[in-house]
Amino acid sequence: MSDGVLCSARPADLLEYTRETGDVIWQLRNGLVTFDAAVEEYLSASGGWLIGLIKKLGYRDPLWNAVVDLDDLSSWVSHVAWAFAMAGAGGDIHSTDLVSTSTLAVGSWLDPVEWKPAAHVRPGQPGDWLRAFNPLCRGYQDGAGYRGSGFIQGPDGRLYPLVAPFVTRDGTEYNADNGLAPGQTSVLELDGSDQGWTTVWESIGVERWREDPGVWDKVWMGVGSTVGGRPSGSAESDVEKLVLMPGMAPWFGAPADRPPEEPTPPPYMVPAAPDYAPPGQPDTMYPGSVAGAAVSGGVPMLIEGFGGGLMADLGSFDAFDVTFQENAAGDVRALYKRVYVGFDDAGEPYADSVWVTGPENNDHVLINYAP
Amino acid sequence: MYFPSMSFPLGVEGQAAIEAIAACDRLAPKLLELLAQHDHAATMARPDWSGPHRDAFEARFAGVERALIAGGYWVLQVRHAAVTRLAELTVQAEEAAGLIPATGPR
Repeated sequence: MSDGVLCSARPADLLEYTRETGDVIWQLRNGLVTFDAAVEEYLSASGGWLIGLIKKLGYRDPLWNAVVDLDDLSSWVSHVAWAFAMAGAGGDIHSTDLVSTSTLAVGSWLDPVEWKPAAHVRPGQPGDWLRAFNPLCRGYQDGAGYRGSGFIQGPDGRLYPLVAPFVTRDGTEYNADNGLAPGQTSVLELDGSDQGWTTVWESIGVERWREDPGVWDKVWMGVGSTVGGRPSGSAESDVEKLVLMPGMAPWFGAPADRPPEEPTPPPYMVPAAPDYAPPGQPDTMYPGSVAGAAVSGGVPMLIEGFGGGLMADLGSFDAFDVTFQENAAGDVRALYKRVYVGFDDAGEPYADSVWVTGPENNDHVLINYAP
Repeated sequence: MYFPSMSFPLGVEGQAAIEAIAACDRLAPKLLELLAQHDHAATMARPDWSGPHRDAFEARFAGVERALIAGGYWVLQVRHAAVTRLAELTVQAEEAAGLIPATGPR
């Protein structure tokens, strides 16, 4: 379904369809129950004679299938009515107002879970981002502005420049708001120097930020994890406990689990022969050849790799909040926040928020929330 | 409506066939009535509804209408089968009652 076009409807009209269709469904069900009772009695009395005939006719219970289809269609129209109401009638599904809006806005209420931002981040050619989103025109001064380089393709197919706002207050840089008191200026509007952005769509959820690693990738990531600790990133169960609210710093709605197990402890390592003999002892011989040492060292590394590799994919998830905005001049932008869960030495969970500014792993701006 | 002769016994199967025919006779016109009612329901939604959701609705609406029409056709087929069988049972009953010459086993 194309999301970039306009659409319109009156929620109350669509609701009227579902109401009257509900009556049709009720009558049809009752009619079929009576019909089925009579036909089944006949099937029973005919001793199977009619069953064979009905099979010959290709009976596939077409009327009950029609009931199911009709029920599905009615439910869907009701859902569409609700989506139109949410998109442009203040959530009032009984509204008789004509809602004219973008398909994107309606679609976001219909299918909010199908679209995940991680798969839609795109790099920009040099200068593309500046042309699409000129920070010099956005009050890039007084220690405030935007960082970014890449784009995200929205559900409407358009490319939105990814931006990471920042302001400086009393010498401290802030990158996002943690709630706003009445009259307080917003970091997202650069403390008032870039106002007028309205949100056309926002999606909050949990996503996989990288593909499931292959077996060998997991092995090598596992080797890394046993050396460097738990893989970076968060497990799905960790980030699902986060609560993300628009304009707020994330918090834990339920205690995050400690890692199910600590990184695989290094297995016993067979000492390998040193590369060089001691000074003045060039003929010193060590048990095993160099090749043998490599093999004996490689086996535990593989064990280590498989052990750690089992955990490698655990760190592939983040909680996200992506917002698509536009202003009166027709400019667009996207703010894509990811939140990862980590654990400190005491096993206590903490949340790290970043603005995603491009497709590379280091296209992140760590968020310092304004108090 | 089907009005069978009740002057001789048709047996349990015959009576069930009569009931099945009556059920078909009730349902077939009811389907037409419900088709019309569903059509009317759609006219409530259509006037100011535009965009891809409307297109999707029309496609699904047409599918449901086709399913209902196909269902109505199937009901008529069941009725035809039941009428045919009832006619056979009637002949058998008339033969058994000696009202017509026997034609041998069927």
